[in-house]
Amino acid sequence: MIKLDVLKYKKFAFIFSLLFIVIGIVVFIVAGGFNKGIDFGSGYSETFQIAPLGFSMSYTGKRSATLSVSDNTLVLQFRDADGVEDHKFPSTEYPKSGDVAAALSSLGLNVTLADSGLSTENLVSGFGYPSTLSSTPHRVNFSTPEVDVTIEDVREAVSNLKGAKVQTVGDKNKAQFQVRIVLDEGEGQEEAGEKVESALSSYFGGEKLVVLQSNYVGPKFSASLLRSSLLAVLIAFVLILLYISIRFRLAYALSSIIALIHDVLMMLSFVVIFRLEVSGTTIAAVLTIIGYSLNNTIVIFDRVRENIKNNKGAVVYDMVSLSVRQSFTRTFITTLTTLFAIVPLAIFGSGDIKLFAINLIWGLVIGAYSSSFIAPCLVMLFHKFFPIDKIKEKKEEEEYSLVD
Amino acid sequence: MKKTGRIMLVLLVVAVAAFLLYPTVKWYMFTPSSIKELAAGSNLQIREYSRGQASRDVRVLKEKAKTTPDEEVDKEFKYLEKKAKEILKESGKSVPSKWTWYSLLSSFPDESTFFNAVEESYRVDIMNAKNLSGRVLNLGLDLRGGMSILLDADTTIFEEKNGRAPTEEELTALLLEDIDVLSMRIDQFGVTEPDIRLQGKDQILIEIPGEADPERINSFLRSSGSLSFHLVDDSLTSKVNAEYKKNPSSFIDDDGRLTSSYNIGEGKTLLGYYVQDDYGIEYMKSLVVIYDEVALDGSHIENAKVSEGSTNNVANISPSINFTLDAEGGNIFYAFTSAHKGDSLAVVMDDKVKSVATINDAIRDSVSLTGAFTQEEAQSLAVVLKTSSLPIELKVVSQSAIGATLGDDSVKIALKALLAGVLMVVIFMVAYYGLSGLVADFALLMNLFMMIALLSALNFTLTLASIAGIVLTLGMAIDANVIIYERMKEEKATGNGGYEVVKAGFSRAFWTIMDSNVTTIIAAVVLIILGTSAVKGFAVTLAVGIACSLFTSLLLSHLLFDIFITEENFRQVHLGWRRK
Repeated sequence: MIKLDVLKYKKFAFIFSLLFIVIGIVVFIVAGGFNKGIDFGSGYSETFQIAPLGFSMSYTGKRSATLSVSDNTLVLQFRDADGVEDHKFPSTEYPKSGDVAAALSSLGLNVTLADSGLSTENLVSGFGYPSTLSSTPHRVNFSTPEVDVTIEDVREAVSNLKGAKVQTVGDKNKAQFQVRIVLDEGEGQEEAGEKVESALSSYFGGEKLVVLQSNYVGPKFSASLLRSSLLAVLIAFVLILLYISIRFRLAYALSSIIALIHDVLMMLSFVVIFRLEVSGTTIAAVLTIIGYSLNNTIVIFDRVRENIKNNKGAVVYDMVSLSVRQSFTRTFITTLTTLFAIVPLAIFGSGDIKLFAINLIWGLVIGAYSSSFIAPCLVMLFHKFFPIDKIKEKKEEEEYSLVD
Repeated sequence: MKKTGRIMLVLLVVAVAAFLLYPTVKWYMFTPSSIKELAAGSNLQIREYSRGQASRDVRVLKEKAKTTPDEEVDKEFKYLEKKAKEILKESGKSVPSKWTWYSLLSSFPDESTFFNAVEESYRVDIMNAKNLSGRVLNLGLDLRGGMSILLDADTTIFEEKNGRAPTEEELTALLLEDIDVLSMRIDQFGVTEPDIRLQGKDQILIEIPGEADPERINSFLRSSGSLSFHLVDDSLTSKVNAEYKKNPSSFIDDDGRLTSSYNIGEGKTLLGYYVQDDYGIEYMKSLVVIYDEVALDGSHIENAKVSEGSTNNVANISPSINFTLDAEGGNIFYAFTSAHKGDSLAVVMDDKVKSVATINDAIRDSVSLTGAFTQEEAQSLAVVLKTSSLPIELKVVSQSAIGATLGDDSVKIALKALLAGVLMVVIFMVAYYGLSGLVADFALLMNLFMMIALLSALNFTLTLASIAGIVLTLGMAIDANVIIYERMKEEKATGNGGYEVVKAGFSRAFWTIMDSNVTTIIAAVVLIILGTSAVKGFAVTLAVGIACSLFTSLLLSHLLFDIFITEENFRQVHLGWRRK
């Protein structure tokens, strides 16, 4: 067992937490608030890729033709009286865009070839898949390794748009970018989308632009999201306070709630200091940590309660210290295994999910820290105000099993 | 609980979980992708496909009956024998011992019965698949690509008209009407069928899986169903219908559409009269010949309502549809109805006849349509009459669209992360706790299995946020076992035997695990009730995961220990690799 008297370090713990939170507040004021994501900021964002056009195709035949993508392979489906007829164009059989174009052409589609030498394994499928082919041409684009579009190009292309922010997303050599703009008063999703697309099209050429993702959040939505999230946290706090007061005692309930508020503030400070984007997933991360850190705290408090009960007459200070020590391995291993599960998300993930994972990793560490240092110190403190009620303590069940 | 009882309980839970998981497994592993795609289409597309296929089959069958009448029926058409048997039995005829092409075909009284039987078999297949798709674990739009749009009511026009804002109840009612109208417009919409529903009390959420083209949804929201009134050529209509009864397949081409081969003369068009059948699918009841000239355009309709029964005729209890026209429309309609008393009038929407009524009187602006329709039919017709404009205007509150590639990538990433996480946890537990770690790992995998089964039963939609929830829950599920094992270590240190160690470890950890999990469940439940969609998905997986984890850690792990370490065999518990 680790010989560590955590209560000795309470000053360090309080000072560290306080300092971190104060830095967070200072940065918050200096930088002018959170780095609001689109969910909270309201606006329009578009993720796109600039990729050369391979060919465009149209269909005017009698059957109904659908072009879709599965496993990065183009699939053309004809549907008519004779049932369904699938044609697949895997890159192993059709390595170049010209090969696919020729095959499509022989199936009765009107194909206009733009570049026959593009590698089909680099198919870029954005909006418009699956597509019901008609006389309006459908574009098929392929990325090349040597696309020399830089983030500066994109910045220049959208420089005239209000509040435009550009960032690179995904693989750097793929020329994938995200543009975010601020909405004008009363501007709808349609106008915002058109504005961005026409700016990009005129700079890079419309046939090269492939839109991968778009988000529009009106002002009303972001306001209601924040309101409902705050309400959810408040109600969860009150219910947790109630449950712990009933199962344990008020001192424990107050300590754990304060420890939770500490966790939330530490997480928000982290987000502010490192200028991470605040979005719906940040809220999810904070809520997760509330549940998780509470879990840790309860396990330790459970031990404290048990130790106080079993060692009548012992000093509360010793019992709290002992409980933290006894639970230390468990806190450590549980945090470690959960980190095992989360770290791959931070490494492999992108966008929202990466952000979520990073928030969680910090939150897990903070949760383990607060339940081992902050919460026990608080319980000590509150024990002075709410002395132990011996009669009530005795009534608590100590052990239980589902087995006879 | 006795050991046998616990074994039975665990087996029962496994059986139930497997049963709940079955539709999902069937859908993702054993349903051909062509059926899946068809099932994702709108009812009309399914209808069109079935009719096309049936029309082809009927031709093949007729050909066979003509050329080789005495040969046995092919396997492909065996399904028709059952229906033929039913028909023969009903009419008291004998059932042949061996089905030949001729005997099969001749057991159907007429061609349309035959055609319907063939069509039904195609439709039932796809409708079953469609049903199945509603009972499985779905992938969210962020995972498979697609689009979701949240719409808000735009009350400015309402306020101008009524001089006040609509009340909450009024707003909900108007939005529900909007949903009806939008659902009617689905047919004009792309490949997959959108899901349109009310969110909260004042918003509409539209989700379109697979397709992510905001242009489409814009035109979908703006478009108005083309609705118009036309005069009907009654005599020609009855003639065409008599012909259609005799020989239906000559009117329908391979694509399941009406052919225009029948000569009806200039200035007239042959259209189908569509009503909804029991499955909610529109089907063509009969044919109608209308004059091309538009008698009245649907844009003149101001309001349409259904009233139950008519007051001036006690015998007539079928509902009537009352709609009002604007001033200009009233003038046009009055002139038209005065000139055509006694003739029939057809309501045509998107080249389909939705209703035919007789003109009894000259009408100006308040029109009442009566006919032999049911309450539901009247309701849907009232919706049709209103489709020319939405009952209340809508504006986009938020929209997100994700192309298929990006969705595909995120599925792969999420699965990779999930797998990597599970693998690391599994290896760590064995490395740290030895054989007991294996028990925890088994409990973990059971937890994953039960979670997915429960989520499938809830017809849950898996999003990135909920996959994160699963990953997190797996981390936390291990926690219960860690608490128990750490307790066991303490017991072992006091020198107790294996059996006592297990018993004390589990019973002393019980309330710790309960308390810590119940508090987390409280947080999860609050989020389920109050959270927005992404947070909600996360919270549902968390709550389900914790519930499963309570079962696997407190019951399943304990049972596994009890099977290997009994009171009699004095075995030690392995809580690590070091021998003490």
